Amino acid sequence: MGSVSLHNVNKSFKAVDVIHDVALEIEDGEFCVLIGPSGSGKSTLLRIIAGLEEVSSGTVSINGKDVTELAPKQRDIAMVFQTYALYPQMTVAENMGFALKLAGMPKAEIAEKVKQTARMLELEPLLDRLPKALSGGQRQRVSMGRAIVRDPSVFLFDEPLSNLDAKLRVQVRGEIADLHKRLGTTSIYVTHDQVEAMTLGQKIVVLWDGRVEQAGPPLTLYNDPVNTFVASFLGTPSINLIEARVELNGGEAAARLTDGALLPLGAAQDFTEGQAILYGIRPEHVGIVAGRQEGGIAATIHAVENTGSDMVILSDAQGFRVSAAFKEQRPLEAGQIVTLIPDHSKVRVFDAESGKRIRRREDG
Amino acid sequence: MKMTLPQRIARGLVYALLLIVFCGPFWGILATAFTKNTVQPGQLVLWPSNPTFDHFIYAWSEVKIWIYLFNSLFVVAIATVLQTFVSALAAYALARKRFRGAAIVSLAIISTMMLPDEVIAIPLYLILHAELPLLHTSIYNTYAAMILPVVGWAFSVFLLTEFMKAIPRDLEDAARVDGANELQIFWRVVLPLVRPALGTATIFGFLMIWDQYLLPLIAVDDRNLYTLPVILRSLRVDEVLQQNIFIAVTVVATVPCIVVYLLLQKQFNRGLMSGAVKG
Ligand SMILES: Nc1ncnc2c1ncn2[C@@H]1O[C@H](COP(=O)(O)OP(=O)(O)OP(=O)(O)O)[C@@H](O)[C@H]1O
Ligand SMILES: [Mg+2]
Repeated sequence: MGSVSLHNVNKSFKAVDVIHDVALEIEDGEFCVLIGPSGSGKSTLLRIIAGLEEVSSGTVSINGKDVTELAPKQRDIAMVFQTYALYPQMTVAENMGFALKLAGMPKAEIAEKVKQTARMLELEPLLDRLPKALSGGQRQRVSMGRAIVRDPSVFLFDEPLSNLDAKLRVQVRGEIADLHKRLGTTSIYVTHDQVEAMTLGQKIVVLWDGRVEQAGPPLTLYNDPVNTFVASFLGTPSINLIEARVELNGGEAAARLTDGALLPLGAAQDFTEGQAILYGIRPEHVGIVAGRQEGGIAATIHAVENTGSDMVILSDAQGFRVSAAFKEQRPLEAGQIVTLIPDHSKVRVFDAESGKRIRRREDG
Repeated sequence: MKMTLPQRIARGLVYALLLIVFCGPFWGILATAFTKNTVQPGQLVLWPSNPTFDHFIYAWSEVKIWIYLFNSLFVVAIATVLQTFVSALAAYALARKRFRGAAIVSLAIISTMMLPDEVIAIPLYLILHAELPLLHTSIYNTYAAMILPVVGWAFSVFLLTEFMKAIPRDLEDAARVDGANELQIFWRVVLPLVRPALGTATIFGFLMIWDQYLLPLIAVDDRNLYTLPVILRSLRVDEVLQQNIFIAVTVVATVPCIVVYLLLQKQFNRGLMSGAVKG
């Protein structure tokens, strides 16, 4: 049991406003990821939920109960820190049992619970060690164990994987997902890694400059971003945003790119003549054919990035760059002249000035 | 690295010289204290002739140095414990708590380090004589008069403050989330992590209090409350007392310092900090 909701939360440090009017509903059992660039206020928001930081205004509720004025220990939450924050003078078992001990649980019961959790995380052989005698990955696991053993209503994670190497990160990411499936505990997870966000999150909250830009299921954010910030924050390589002007012709609208290419946009009602837009198309929705062809963007391949499973083509058109990505291997190389053909149904159009999404009829 | 013979000899000579400079006088004191023959003031022997415990026995039974040894040990034990405890609390507040006037408090504590004891002797004397409210008596001529003035010591406050500043804040936040209150955080998380510094502060505090001379001189005038430094001074000018006995008392006065140092040295368990946080 643990829903979390924030209402009009504001936070300022002295004169600097860091969090602006954040509202958020996280359902019981949901895995919610907070993502955003450095300094966007992710950690601050998480610490506000934890009770480590006071709000300047607004309310925080957990399980429908207003906890805004309550201390962390009265909120029934557990937190995993980026630095792990294990108590150096205590063994793994003591670290894991510290909260239970403070809560006055009998020794035998603590030992039992610690053992159970340690078994689940395969930490049993390490229980008597001090943190300094553990590897980074093991410390990370202990810090998760310390949270799990308390069986709280909400888990809070602040970039728990950022100190692990790439391979371990993928492994632990999978384990966190499994744990969440098994325990079903509401989790709020801060990261700046969009792959973590997309793979773990049932809901993703994109923060920018202390504001929630968009919140929703990962694929909704990916396919249906409300603005250019969200669109370009999710997805690697990131979405192509190409400057263009709208031209209306009968009932149809089209985008005139700076190099002269004319690409169809759909029904004219959604646009006005001469409107400045950003023509957004994700790399995987850009087709590529060798040579020159009508109805596409003429370009020269600038670089080919091949990871074996994916191919990314960076190409120069006249005045802008476009990237394309696909799964199959194709005989393309730098310097080659090609035509890029966007999948018109996948185009996302944004207002050039505000960056806001312009919804087309066929976007649904 | 391998050293040539001349280099090794040179090194040996330097070490020997250092040893003589630092340990020589101490050896002289020890040897004289155990020598039967009387020496003149200002004279030390280098080898005890007719070794004997007589001077110690005399110092114990006739000069009754056990009274002063007890006074010194009693004052130093209580004052060091209190001083370390008060310093740790003050240091935690200065290192972590944001409160109005923190800078002024800090400055006030530093400024006490700039005043020589002689300057505060008279104000201190007046304070020690002042009648306390309710109790209608002063602490003059009590152990408290020798203990309370050294309980606050800027040096140990600042030493501990610096160590506490180095503790990652995440540890305290983790404890807070785990349900610890402020006192539990201080006691169970912060203090164990500054143990090496606590050891250092305790040793320095012990020596500082053990060496107090002016304070007991103005704090008490009952000879039965005298501490070792005060009685040493009065024995020094005692014309009938044998020099060897005075030196034996000096030896007794140094022993506790050495014992404390050896005991606490082992406790300096450095490296506890590593492994607290990654990176
Ligand atoms: N204690 C503080 N005092 C003053 N400013 C602070 C404090 N803590 C955070 N800030 C400011 O608040 C803003 C948000 O910080 P926060 O740590 O929440 O960012 P973040 O999104 O977690 O970034 P990162 O990805 O780098 O961890 C930053 O501009 C930061 O400088
Ligand atoms: Mg952060």
